[in-house]
This record gives sequence, C-alpha cells and structure tokens, in this order.
Amino acid sequence: MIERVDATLVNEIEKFGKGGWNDCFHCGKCTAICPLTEQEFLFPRKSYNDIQMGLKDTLVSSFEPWLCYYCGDCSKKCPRNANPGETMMILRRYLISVYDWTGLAGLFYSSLPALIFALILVAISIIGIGFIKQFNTESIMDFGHHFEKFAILGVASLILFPNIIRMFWYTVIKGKIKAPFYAYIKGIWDLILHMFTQKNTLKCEDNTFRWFEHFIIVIGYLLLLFTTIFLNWFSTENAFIIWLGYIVAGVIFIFTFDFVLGRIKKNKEINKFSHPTDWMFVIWLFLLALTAFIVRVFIDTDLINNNLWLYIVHLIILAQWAILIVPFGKWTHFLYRSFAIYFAQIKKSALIKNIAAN
Amino acid sequence: MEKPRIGVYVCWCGTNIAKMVDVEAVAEEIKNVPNVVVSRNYKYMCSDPGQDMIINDIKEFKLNRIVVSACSPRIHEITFRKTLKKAELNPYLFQMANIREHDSWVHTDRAEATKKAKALVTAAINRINYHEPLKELSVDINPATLIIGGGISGITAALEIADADKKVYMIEKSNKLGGYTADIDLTYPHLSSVQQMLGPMIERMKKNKNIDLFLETEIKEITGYIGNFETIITPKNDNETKLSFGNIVVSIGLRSWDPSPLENYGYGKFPDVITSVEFEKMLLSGNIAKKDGSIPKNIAIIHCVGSRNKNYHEYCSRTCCTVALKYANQLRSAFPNASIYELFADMRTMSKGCEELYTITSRKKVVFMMFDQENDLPGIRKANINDNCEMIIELNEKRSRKFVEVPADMVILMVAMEGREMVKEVAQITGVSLDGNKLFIEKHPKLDPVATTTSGVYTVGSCQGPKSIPDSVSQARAAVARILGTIARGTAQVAGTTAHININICCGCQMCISVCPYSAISFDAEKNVSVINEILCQGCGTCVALCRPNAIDIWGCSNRQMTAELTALLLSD
Repeated sequence: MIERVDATLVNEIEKFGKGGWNDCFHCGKCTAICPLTEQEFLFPRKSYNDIQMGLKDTLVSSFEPWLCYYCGDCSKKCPRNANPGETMMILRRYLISVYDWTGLAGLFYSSLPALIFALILVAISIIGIGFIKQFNTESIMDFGHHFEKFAILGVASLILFPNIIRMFWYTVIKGKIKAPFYAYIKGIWDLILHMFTQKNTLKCEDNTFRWFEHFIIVIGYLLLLFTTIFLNWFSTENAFIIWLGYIVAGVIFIFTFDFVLGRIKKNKEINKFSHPTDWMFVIWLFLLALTAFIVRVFIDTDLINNNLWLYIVHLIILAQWAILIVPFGKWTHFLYRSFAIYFAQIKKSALIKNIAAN
Repeated sequence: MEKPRIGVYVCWCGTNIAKMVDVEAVAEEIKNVPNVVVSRNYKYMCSDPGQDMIINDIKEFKLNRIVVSACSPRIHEITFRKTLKKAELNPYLFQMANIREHDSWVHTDRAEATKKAKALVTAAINRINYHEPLKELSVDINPATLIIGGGISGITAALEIADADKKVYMIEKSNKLGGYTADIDLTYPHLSSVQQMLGPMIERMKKNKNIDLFLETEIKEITGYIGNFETIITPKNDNETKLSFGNIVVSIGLRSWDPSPLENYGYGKFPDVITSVEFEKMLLSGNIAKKDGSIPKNIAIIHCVGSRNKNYHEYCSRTCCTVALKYANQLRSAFPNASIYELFADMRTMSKGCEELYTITSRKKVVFMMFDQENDLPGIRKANINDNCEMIIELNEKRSRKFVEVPADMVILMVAMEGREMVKEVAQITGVSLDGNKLFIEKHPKLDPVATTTSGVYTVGSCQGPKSIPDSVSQARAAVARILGTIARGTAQVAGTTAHININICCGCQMCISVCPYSAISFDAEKNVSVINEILCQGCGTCVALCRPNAIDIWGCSNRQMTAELTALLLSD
C-alpha cells in the first residue's frame, strides 16, 4: 500500500505544541550535528519531512522521536529557527497519545481545561473518601497505603501494558520489522539498562550534569516508591527505613526544584519551551516528594493527628500523579523511550542482516 | 600609395606584459623590420603620455602607419584610433598586436614568450603595409520609433519615448494592449493588483498624441537601416500606411506552452488539470472552482511543466516558481482549510522579495514536495470513489525517497514559456538572430543585453528570455535610453570595415545574399551583380568565405592583409 500524503495531519500534531515544521527547508544541519542520529535512524530532519507531508503511518511507526534526548543543539544551530529539538518533543507527546488506547492522553495534552477538570475531580474524590472515613487519621492513612498499591497495579495492567502492546503493534508489526525471537531476548538487557540509566544522554555534548540530575531523580523516585509501598514508610518504626525515606524524598524535591527553576529561567535550550504538562510533571513530582517529607516529619513529631489536612493534600497529589500523570502524561516516556530503544536495536540488526543477506 | 612609414609601440602594461616578455628587446629587434621608422617601448601606452608619444612621433617622423603591441584590440583599439584621429591620421591606418592575452598571460617561459611577441609584432607590421585609409559613414536618424508588441515591455518603451516628445508607432497583433500581463491578477512578490497598474498605462497610451496605435496589425517586411527604416502596414479597417522610423523595439514576448505532450499529467484528459494561465484567468474572474462548479478541497501545483526538460525546453522559465508560491497564497486566502500541495523540482525564487515570499508561503501549511525533473516525473490517475478526491498524483518524493500518493481535486500545471508562433518571421523581418530556444540573441549577454547585432534594433522583455514584469520594464527603459541617445545625437556612425564587391568579378550567383546574417546584400538585376549596403553590413566576412570567384573583400581585413600577416607568422622561427 502506497502511503497517502495528508496536508491536514499538521493540524492534529499542532495540538501537542507549536513546532517549526513550517519553517524547515531541509538543509539537514540538525541531522548532521545530532550526536544520537545513526545511519538507520536519521533525525530530526526526516521527522520534519514526515510531518510536512503528513505521512501518518510512517510517523506512528517511527522510533526516532524517542531516540532523541533533547540536548537542544539542533535548535541552537538551525538556520531557520525551526526548533527541531522541541519538534521531537511534540512528536513524543503525539506518539504517547497514539499509543494510548483510552484517548485520554491526547485529550489532556490538547486541552488544558480537560486536564484541570480531571485534576479537580480526583481532588474532590479524595476529599470525599476522607469524608466517608470521617477524617479518621488511621483509616485514611491505611486507605492511602492500599490505594498506592492498587493504583500501581491497576495503571500498569489496564493502561501501560496494553499501551506498550499497542506501541509494539504500530512500530514493529505495522512497521514490518522481521526479527527472530531470540533478538527480543537478547535485547532485554539493553532495555533494562536504558530504562534505568538513560545512558544515551551522555552522548550529547555538555550533558553530564543534566544526566546526573535526571538519573538521581529516577533512582530516587523508584526508591521512594519502594520505601512507601513495600517498606511502608509512613507506618514503620524502623529507623533505617525512616531515614532512607527522608533521604530519597529530600533528594527528589531538591533536584526537581532545580528542574522547575530551569524551566523558569529558560537558560537551556531544553527549558525554552514548556507545555503545561511539562510544568505539571516537574511540579507534581516536587510536591509529591515535599509533602511526603513533611508528612513523615509531622508523624515523627506527633503533629499529624491535628494536621490531617496535610496528609490529605499529599494523598490528592499522589492520586493525581498516579491516576493522571503516570498513565496519560509525560511519565510514560520512562517506558516508551526504553522500549523504543529496545525495538530500534532489533530493527537495526534486522536491517543490517537484510543488507548482508542481499 | 605613399611609402609606409611605420611607428611601433611596445607596451609593458605595468608588469602584465613586461614580467613575461622582454619588451625592450622586442622594440629593439623590430627596428630592423622594413618600413619601421620608429620603435619604442613604454610602461602604459594607453595613458595620456603614451598617446602623446604617438601623436608627437606622427608629426615629427611623418609616420603614416601605427602598430601598438599591447593588450586585446577589444579593450583599446578604439582608444588608439582616436589618438590617430587627433594626429590627423586616418584611424584605420592602425593595427594592434595582442601580446598580453595571447602571450604574457598564458605563457610561463620568458624567452619563448619574448620570441612569440616578436613574431606577433612582425606579423602586425607586415599586415599594416597594406592598410588603406577608410571612410566612416554617417547616417541621419529619423526620430520616430517602431515598437512591435504591446505587452508590458512595449507599453513601457512607448510611453517613455512618447514622454520625451518623440513619435512612436506601436504595432500589436491582437485587439488589445497589455499582452500576457493583462491576464494576470496579482503580481509577485507583493501581491498587488496588475489591473490597477496596467489600466492607467493603457489609458495613457491611447491618449498620447505621440503614439500611433495599430491594433490587429502585423508587419510583413521592414526595409532600410539604422536611422532610416521603412515599412508598409495594413491596419484593420484602414488603408495601407507607410511608416518611416529610425529605431525598432521588438517586444513580442513569449507564449505559454501547451502541456498536452506530457501525457503523465493528463492535460486535456482530466477536466480539472489546468495550466497556470487558465488558473490566472480564474483568479482574475474571482471564481476558483472545478469544472463541475464545486470547490476543490485538495489542490496540487506542479512546477517545471515543460521547463528544464531536454525533451521540451531546456531553459528555466524563471517566473513560475514564484508564481506558484503566489497561487498558494491566493488559494490559502480563498480556502483557509484546503490542502495545498506544491510539487517542485528545485525551488528557484530569485529576485528581490521572492525568497521572503517562499518563507511566508511555507508558514501557511502548504506542503512542499520534490520530484526528479530529469528521470522521474509525477503521474496523475483518476481516483476511486472511496479516495475522497478526484485524482491521485503518484509521486516519487525525492527528499524522503518515498513513493507517495497525493490527493488532488484540481491540478495547476506551471507551464513553460516559449517563443511565439510568429517569432521566426519577426526575427527575419527585423534581422535579429534567434538561439536554439527561439529566444532573441542580444548583442552581448552581459554588457549589451538589449541591443542586437543589427544596429537600431532592440529586443526587450521576455522574447529575449523568460522574464518577470520588473525585469521586462527595466529592459524596456534601457532600450529607450539607447534610442533617445541616438535620436539626440541625430546621426549614427557606421564603421568603415565593411565588405565590398568587385563588380568586374561578381558572377551574380547570389550565394552571398542567402548567407548574409544582416540582410545587407541585394541583387542588381540590371548589372547582374550583388550589391552591399554598407550601413547594414557588419563586416562579418561570411560572404567573403563563401564567394567562389573571390569577388568580395573586406575593408580593413582584406585577403592581402591577412596573407601578409599569416606569412610573417608562419615564417617566424
């Protein structure tokens, strides 16, 4: 089937942010200077072409947006100010919405009122649950602990897992990647490695500090999740766990504060353009860690019973994070990017094998 | 003939010649050549002291032949001829030996280059022995001007000449003025109205007393030469009129190419595949619609239709890329939600403001796609019912290296500009040559772009090469400047170096008449000989080479002069 050009696709992609695809005249400078682009995966220019021509199938089956770690060099050097770095970011948002079977990701990305409405709805629900529990500290905190478990389980099984399958369908199956089964097994180590280290970021120039900050946040976030859910941080008497919780929560809100500050200062290319969801992602993570930290301080000082509102605020932020931001927002890049690198490696080896066979 | 007394002057040209040629040795050795009275060398012969040296020597030594051995005659022949005139010597008793371009600049061995210089100077001396004083002809200039073609270039030229209070005869083949420009809606890159611009010009044309307008009129023949042309025309519903004029402006423009031979575009087969000229008329009428009256949702504009293609026209039609961008803008204004596709081979938006128009257009959600003009043109096929469009363009997109389909309800073909149907006749009537693309050849492609090799005939506008409105207007005004200059002088000098026929030898075969590129030779039936019009003759020598009985020779470049020069060259060691 020959692909059909579609001038209206840009209208759809435009909902995810203002990119410079109308300015690009294909000099290819961005691709020439990109430290991450490869013979098999040429970007950002090629993605520009797919957007301009409206080649939806090609775009949806492409890994290129995920292979970009947005160092912003291309945007700095672009002679037409077409902003390739941000365009790749916009494409990632677009792809998140394509992979999401519920359609909510697309709705939240393209409509700020819808997102705010959803946030308020979650907050009211939490307050409602508090009301049902008659604002009893113990039962509410017990509910909060169980909620965390079920939210993770529910989001992973109902949203994230099906969406990864959809991603597999769009990219590997429809992208006609033919690779033997053992290639998928062989690549699993890389998948895990990239998921937890984001080591490709280091290939970008002058990016070590940013990689370090991001790495610390990822590890801190996973540890905080582990401490609160499996080690039950808020209820434990174990001094080691209490201190571990304090440290990881503290590390997260300190480092995310720097991320928020960066977006305010706009001193780096990556911080110049902030979609509302970009703001939300860093601010919510910051608040999540900060409120967790203060809640534990209040527990340790026995103030929590008289200040239950603080825990409810924490729970609201947690619920919004777990139900809205994780499954339908920027959080998913944790998964999609790693899987894209995983699939891309498989595609690359299949391509090389094909060339060798011919 | 008096005995030749030759003065030879070897120029250093600063270090240009002196660096590679031992100019002093050349001047010294030349003294021994027969008839050389004075031989000198000097740093810059073209400078005032250099020229004064020649003038003084002519007077002191009674010199009657001057050889300057310096640069190309193209650069300074006229300078030195004027020097001779000042010294009251006939300017044609002069010869230049080019020891710069032909010698010092192109050689690296000083001894060899010096030897060559001696040979070249000796050859020039040998030749000049046979130079004769020649007369320059002077003709009076009729201040009227004939303009052929009433497009924007012709109109501009006519108004400009008429405003200088000189007579203009405007011949236009069709029944209205304005040419192709009259069918254009908006100009590029500023998108301003052509009608508002052209309308007042046409009004001024009609009202101006200095302009005689002949619509629906064609020219059959023009006789005469610069300053004194004549023609007889038969205007519609009018009697035969005889016109006399001194200069001619040819501004017949170009026509749009019929793209039917390019079958892959389906022009004539699909009703909504139209040419740019047809679309322009649609814009002018204010109604963009498909043939069935409905509004197109997908519009594709295909560039380079018949241009830059060896099978049709090898040249670039120059304006179409920017016109296509203009269309995209106008379409976007008319249909804010339509899909607009531009299929181009190379985007060529030259001229001021046009690259900016490209940038503006690319920001209006216009899809630009590239195709391979040499090997892989797009093709159009009829769409199926479930395609939601009329036609599908199959395209091998060059930038993405992808085969894609482009939906289209209307396809605009940016057709090439080509020579008009009557261009050969006009070229023959006016005595101007055409190139292989049926475009008029200018006298010099860079330094004399509006004049032609026929004195008094100028070609302006797109008939000289595809052109935009501002370029056409500039050319028209350039030609007018030349014409008004000629009229102001009142006379024109015609060089004395023309062909002449020895009527005692001429056999009356008339072969020379058939080859003369300037129509300068006619036949005297009574005497049974060919006759050369010395004003039309440019001294090209074509007839000399052809004449079997050797009856024709050229003043200033005779067989005897050439033989003497060549003999000296061949005898040098």
